[in-house]
Amino acid sequence: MTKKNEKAGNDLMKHIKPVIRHRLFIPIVFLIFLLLINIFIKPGFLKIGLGKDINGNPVLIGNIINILNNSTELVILAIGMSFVTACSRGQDISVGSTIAIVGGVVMRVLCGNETQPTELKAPVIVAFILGCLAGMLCGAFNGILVSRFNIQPMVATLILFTAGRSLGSMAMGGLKPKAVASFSYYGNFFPGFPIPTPILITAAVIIITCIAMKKTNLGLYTRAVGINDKSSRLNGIEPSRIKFMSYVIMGLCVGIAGFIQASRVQTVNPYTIVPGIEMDAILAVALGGNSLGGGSLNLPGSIVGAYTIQTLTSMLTTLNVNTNAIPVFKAVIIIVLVAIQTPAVKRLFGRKTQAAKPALGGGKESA
Amino acid sequence: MKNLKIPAKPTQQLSNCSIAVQQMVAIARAVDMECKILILDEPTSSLDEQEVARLFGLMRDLKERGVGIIFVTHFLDQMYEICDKVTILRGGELVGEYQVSEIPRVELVAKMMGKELGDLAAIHNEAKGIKDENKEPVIEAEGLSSVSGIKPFNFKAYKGEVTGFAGLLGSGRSECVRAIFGADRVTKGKLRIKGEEVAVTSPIKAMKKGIGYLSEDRKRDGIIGDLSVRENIILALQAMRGFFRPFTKAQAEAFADEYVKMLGIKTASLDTPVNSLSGGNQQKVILARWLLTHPEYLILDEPTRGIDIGTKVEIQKLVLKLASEGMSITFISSEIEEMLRTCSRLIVMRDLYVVGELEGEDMTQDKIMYTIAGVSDQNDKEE
Repeated sequence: MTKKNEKAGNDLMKHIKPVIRHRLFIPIVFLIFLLLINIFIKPGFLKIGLGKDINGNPVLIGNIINILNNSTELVILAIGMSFVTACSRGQDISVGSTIAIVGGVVMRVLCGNETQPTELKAPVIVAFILGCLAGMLCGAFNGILVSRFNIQPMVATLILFTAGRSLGSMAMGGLKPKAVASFSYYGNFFPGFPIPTPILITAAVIIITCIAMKKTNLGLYTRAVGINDKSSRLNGIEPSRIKFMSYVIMGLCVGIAGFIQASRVQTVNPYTIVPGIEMDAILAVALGGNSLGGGSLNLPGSIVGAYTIQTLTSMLTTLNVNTNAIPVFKAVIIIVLVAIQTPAVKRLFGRKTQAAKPALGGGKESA
Repeated sequence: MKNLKIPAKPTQQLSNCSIAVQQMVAIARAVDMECKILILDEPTSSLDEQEVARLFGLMRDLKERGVGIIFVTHFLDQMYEICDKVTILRGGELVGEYQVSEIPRVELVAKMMGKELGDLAAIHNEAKGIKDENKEPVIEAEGLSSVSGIKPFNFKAYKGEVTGFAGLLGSGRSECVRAIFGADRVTKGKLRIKGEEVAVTSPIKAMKKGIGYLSEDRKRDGIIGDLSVRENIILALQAMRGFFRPFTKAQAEAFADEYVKMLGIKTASLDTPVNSLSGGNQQKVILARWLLTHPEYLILDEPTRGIDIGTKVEIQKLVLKLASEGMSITFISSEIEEMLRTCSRLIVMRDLYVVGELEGEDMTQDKIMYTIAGVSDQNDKEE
């Protein structure tokens, strides 16, 4: 078994080598480290099998699939959070509450005023679009506060953070409706198609983001504004417009995430939906090597960071750590991870890191 | 405390009071400490004339009581009005200490600029841009003023001409050009670009009309530190081109490469973050950024500050060359020699007012200093 581990490790090592000095190095190494631990605790960790769900449809099962599936919301939010962090030099802490609003809107559109409707009251696409619009509206609200009124992002988003969950409940008219099973396809599986839909949606979001980064100046502007907004203005960029836009993008991400979340169980409890996901999203951004002080935009890093957090959560669950104790473990591991990425510690351990490198190389030769 | 005649109630919220009262309260606090020496660093920069008068009354009062006051200002008039003794500093060095009554204004200005009166180093008349009155001016400002507090000014710039704004630090040179570029919100006046009246409300609008502005403070308003040399160079042109039309990496590389070679920018690679370059090279990067936009009117605000002599001369030569190719340029510098060498017309400023315009034969160091000092001289357009 040890041999198998080493082999897997070395295969992965080969992929890391070109990026050893890259910003992504530490996040990826940590993700691999976590995966290795997982393999150690549970030998069949990497296995992906074809199973059948209760309706007899073929579905992919396996830990990796679960992680990819469950991290969907986090990955999408981390992308939005990266933009917000990079250009407004602050974070949006209202995303969890805004998901409650989006969920509320989606459920209201699909269920109307009934708690157990026998059919969908509106096409799912309408619910999706309205959900996204609700998210973007919340984002626009935050964006105006930040870009026009120059309120600190955390203070500005504190408003929706506080009010969002109640607003979500109000959006559903105080009811707790449950939609029919056909709505569940988007958060689970389309019958007959074995890959979980959320994974496909994640892929789509990532691809769209890539295209947007290629076809527009979003990346350049966002970083320029985050580094020096005064100078950006003198170069013909409108910093307030870019900041506003980043919050609307964040809102769109929240809309997509909220839709998936609602679809997973076809119902929404606005007060308990995705607890603390805003902090996980901010952590994903930090883990990805982005400065929380703005100015850097490392989207791949944020995405890897999001997967890392999900892997960590799932690992702790496998280890039978008490659900209530998981945040503590998470916190400890995250402190370590963020700390080793700070320049101060990097300088301090500069020699140690260098000493560690030959050891890695030695391991490779022995294989 | 009311014997300082501060027109406010002790219970009043300070932030509701005028800035003059706030200043006075700050002074009152200092007096309350029974200080012997009071240092006032630019206390009048945000006050209007009446408030200044009130503040000066208070200062004279304190003087009577035996308090020594050190008054730091860039307003010459105020210095002459209130001070007994003046210490002149230039570029971090002590120039000298003088009795105010004994030093004429012109001499004071000369000392501040580091020039001796009558020191007329031969200024060669290289191929300077000459203004062509028959042509329509590229830029025409009429009674322009902005939120920065400059007084309305008129200004014209013609094709192929290098104009300069002369004046001491804080006299409003940068504020004038910032108003033209739309960097400060314009409150009054008209701006015509090539005869067409335009409302320049933001830099991007000015840029689209063919204006470029190399800002005064390179670190704060110029470079975008963590972005690469390439990104810094293409930024302005990219902003003009629009959000949905980014340059491909190859295009950006080609642009950056061209200007890095043309201006001789020393950088390890185009991907090097610009803040790891030397000051002179950073300045060249910003220059490249604006040249890339091919402006018809280029404003260079202190382009040579804090950079080595070699680069300075290069930039001066470049300015003359660009003007000879038809670009209209405004060149602002604290070094008078540099302005004399490059400019064909000088706008002289003092205390936020445009106080004169010099060209041709009139452009001598002496004349400039007389005008700045506001001493009547035959051709002065003193208001």
